[in-house]
Amino acid sequence: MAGKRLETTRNPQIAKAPTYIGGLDDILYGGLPVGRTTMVSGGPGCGKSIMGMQFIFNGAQHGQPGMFISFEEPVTAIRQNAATIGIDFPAAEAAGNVFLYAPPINRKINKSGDFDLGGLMAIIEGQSKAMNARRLVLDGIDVLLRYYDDVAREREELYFLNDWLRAKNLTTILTVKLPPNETSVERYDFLDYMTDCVIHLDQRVIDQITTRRLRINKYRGSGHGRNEYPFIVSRNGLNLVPVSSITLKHQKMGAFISSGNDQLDEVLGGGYRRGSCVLVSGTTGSGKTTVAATFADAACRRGERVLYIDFEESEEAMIETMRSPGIDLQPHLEAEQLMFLTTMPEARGAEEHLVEAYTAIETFQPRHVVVDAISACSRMGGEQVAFEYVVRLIYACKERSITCLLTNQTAGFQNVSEISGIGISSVVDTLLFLRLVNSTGEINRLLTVVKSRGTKHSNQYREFLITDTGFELKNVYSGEGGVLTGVARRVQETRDELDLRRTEMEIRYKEQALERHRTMLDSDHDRLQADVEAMKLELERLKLEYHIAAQARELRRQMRGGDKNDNDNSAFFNDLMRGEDDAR
Amino acid sequence: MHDSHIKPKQQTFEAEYVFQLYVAGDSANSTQALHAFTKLCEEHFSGRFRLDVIDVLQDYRQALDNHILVTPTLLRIYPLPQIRVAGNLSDEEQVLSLVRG
Repeated sequence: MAGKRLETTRNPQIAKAPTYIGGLDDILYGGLPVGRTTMVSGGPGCGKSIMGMQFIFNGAQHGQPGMFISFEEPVTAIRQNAATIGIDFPAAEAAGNVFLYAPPINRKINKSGDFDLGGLMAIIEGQSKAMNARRLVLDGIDVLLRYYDDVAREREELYFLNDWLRAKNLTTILTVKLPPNETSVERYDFLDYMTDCVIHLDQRVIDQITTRRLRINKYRGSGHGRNEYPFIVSRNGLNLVPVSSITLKHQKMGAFISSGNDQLDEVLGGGYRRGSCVLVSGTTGSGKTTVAATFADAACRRGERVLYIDFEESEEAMIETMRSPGIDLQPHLEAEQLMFLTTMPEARGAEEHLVEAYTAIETFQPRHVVVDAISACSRMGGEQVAFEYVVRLIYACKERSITCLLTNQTAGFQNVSEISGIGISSVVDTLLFLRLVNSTGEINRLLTVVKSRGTKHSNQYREFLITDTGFELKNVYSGEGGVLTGVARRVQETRDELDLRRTEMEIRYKEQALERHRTMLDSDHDRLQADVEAMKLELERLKLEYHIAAQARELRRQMRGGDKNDNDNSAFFNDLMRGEDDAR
Repeated sequence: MHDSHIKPKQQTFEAEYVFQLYVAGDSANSTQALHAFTKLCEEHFSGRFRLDVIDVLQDYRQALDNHILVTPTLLRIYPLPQIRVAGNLSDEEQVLSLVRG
């Protein structure tokens, strides 16, 4: 982070005072403007005071003494609130690095004639000289300003205070309370122009889950991150989710790594790519978790750590479920190759989930992260929130060259890379689609690779079988060229209707071939016998191939829900078969 | 700044009225308040008052301890209850009614 911060600070004339708040300095390109005033605005309870406290306390820890003057709550309350986020103000006060001050503000003060903020300025100046303060927070300046029942005088006095503070070279935060759900109040709009840096915090409740956002509205003389950044208030205070921030430096996709299944590796054209994002999409019960667990199991066997974020079931239930397809994750867990993060999505806001995931990534240092399933993320507070959670997590993984395997439950083929309408396909490198097909009373699983960046993958459907030793892919087509170019047919036992029909036809053709052999043997045309036989067999083979292709196309069309008349070759095929029958 | 920080000095303990006036140097509001209030005291509390003028620029600790954020601020220390009036005290009638309580 430090390296990135230096790299993005391109403006040498602006000195920065680091806030040392997780992620904030990154988007401030170093910190707040030294000797200038920053306004932090936001509704009640959205974290303004906490940001101020951290700015003062962290500064004091780094040799920058500071004053925290609150017009909103008494000093005892400030100390208590600070203690909940791990800030020990009494110790810093005793060391002389922090000065807390909270003069009571009585709005019913008697007034007679004009007055100014001379007392406050005298206190700031006197105290800052006494302790050599470099930083100042005026928390709830709007409360103080209510002394003037006069907007023009408020403005005049604040301008005066601002100029004065600048002359004193104090790096200052003014916090201003805004009514909930408002981004600005006309009365204090001028503060936006007056101050050098404007940070807005807000807190929204979406689907009963609290979401906090931070935005830098302005930073005079400096670049800054332009997005809205989610943040949480954790035990360590404000914590920004530091991704999708300044520069997204994704690592290139790495070497092939096994999906844990040879057949799938072959279909993928070699496997997944290290550091890529793999999305396993599919309907419920189609085998997504099995694919994910197979990958995790193989990675752990290679000695690579896997973080498994499970929103669907508990760690115990997940391990137990995977025993059925013969995947035993328990030893990896015990060997600390595998770490589970299991929480109910609705248990907390997306930012907290993200921070939890980041913390796990930082401490556990996994090579691969599995999220099962991102579709559950919408329960964190809506689709947009889920989208952001997923995208930010993917970016965090990409930045660290961590392979990311996500599962996603979908209703059909149309939205394989969507969480109920919000597409993440642009950030997905490999997309597998699993689905259940109902054919003549049987439920079968099918898998296809919809896309896979940087690999020469097959895009054919394959039957996907969950066995007691993982899963197995049945080749719909196979042959001399392998799966990629396969044309001939591999006979295999299957309960799949398609395979059944295939087998039936195979038997029929074998019988016919045998019959022809007998006829030919009876004839005198020994010389032509071999040729005729070969030609007929070749013709049969071609017809069979055609039939299989038509069947597969029909199946694909059904899966896509497409029009039946689209590319309908059945009539031609029927003619062909009739011709065959007539010939006989 | 005016040299009359404490006046009149001879009435230290007998005063019926004890005031503190917090000023910030010789800013316009502070100068005006000092003039206005000195005049008011001489006219209405002659021989019965004590007025301490405190310049917060000289002694910020006084402002700190008494929570004087705005200047000028007049405090009526005695009689109780304490009364606090902010402003340049330009309206004599209003100020008088306030400090007489």
